[in-house]
Amino acid sequence: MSLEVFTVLLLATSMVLLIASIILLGKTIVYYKGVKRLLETGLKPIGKARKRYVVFTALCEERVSQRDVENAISETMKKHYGVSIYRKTSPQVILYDESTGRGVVRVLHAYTSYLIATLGLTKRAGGRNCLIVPIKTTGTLRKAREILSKSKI
Amino acid sequence: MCAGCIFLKPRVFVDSFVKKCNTRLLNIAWIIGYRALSCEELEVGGDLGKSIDFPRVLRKIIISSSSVSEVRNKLAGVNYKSMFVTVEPLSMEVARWSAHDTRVDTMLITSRNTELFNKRQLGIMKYYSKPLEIPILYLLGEDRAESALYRRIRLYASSRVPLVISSMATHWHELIHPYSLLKFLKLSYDIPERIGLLAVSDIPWFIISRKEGV
Repeated sequence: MSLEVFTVLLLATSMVLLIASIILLGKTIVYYKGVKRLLETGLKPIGKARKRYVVFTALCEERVSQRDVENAISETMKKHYGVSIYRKTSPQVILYDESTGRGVVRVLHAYTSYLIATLGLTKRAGGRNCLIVPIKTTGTLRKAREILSKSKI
Repeated sequence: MCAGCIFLKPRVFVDSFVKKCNTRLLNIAWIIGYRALSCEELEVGGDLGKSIDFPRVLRKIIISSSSVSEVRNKLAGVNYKSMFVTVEPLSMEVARWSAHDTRVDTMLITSRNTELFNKRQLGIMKYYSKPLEIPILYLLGEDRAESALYRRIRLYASSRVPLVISSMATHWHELIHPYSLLKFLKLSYDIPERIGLLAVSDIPWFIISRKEGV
């Protein structure tokens, strides 16, 4: 008889403890979420900076060097869109053939439009009259090279 | 129809205002994608309008005046059926009068006459579907006048007045690639690419295709 009573008591105690632990777990989750929210800054994670490659042709009076073209693009971008956009865009002429005037500019993907507009607005490079024609935007340098070799302009 | 499909359709890009056309300029214009030009001065011999590697060329006349009688007299001596006629109004009465004259193809907005293109003028131009011509040269400056131009262009573009964007080039290197032009208009003047595309292709081509000898 006493064993039965003892078993029932144990069962009741375990039930009470189980309920208490469930309640405490709920409370803990609420506190955990509160602390996590306090620690978070509320900013979205910064995405990976992807690159784009813009193939262009520089139609100039005479031959111009890669440095001249890069400087011309940078100056035009600073003039029309300011230094802050220039820093974010960070255009770099990574390939340039002086004989054909064709080349590739690397740029951050979010600012490709700024670069294309700038290429059209660039009128002088290395002290010579120039017209820079954007041909194609690609995501890989390999494809940019292919377009560069196939381009007819 | 998908949202970006408008760009997939092959377009005839038109530069409706080139100051001085020569062989070099026409050749470069063809290379960068222009298929029709409207030139104020043509320094080329022979019939280039029908040659293969050059764009179609149309003569352009710009009438700048502040009196209606002067504009009327000038228009009387112009073969408007084979020329691209543009009026740069310098007074309110010229602006109102030329907005409904069928011989006038476009109305030119410059830094000299920005204040004439107000809401009332907009209403008339919209009623008669008179395109507003904007030379890109005036949009590249650094003066205070550009901010006034910005407001006017935004107003006219949002009211669906037809726009025509031209380069006003004197030398070949002053031409702008049409795709760069669209991006520039979008970024600097908040003109949607769809409107910008119509302004450099369909609207000026519609005017030029009506003319004789093109």
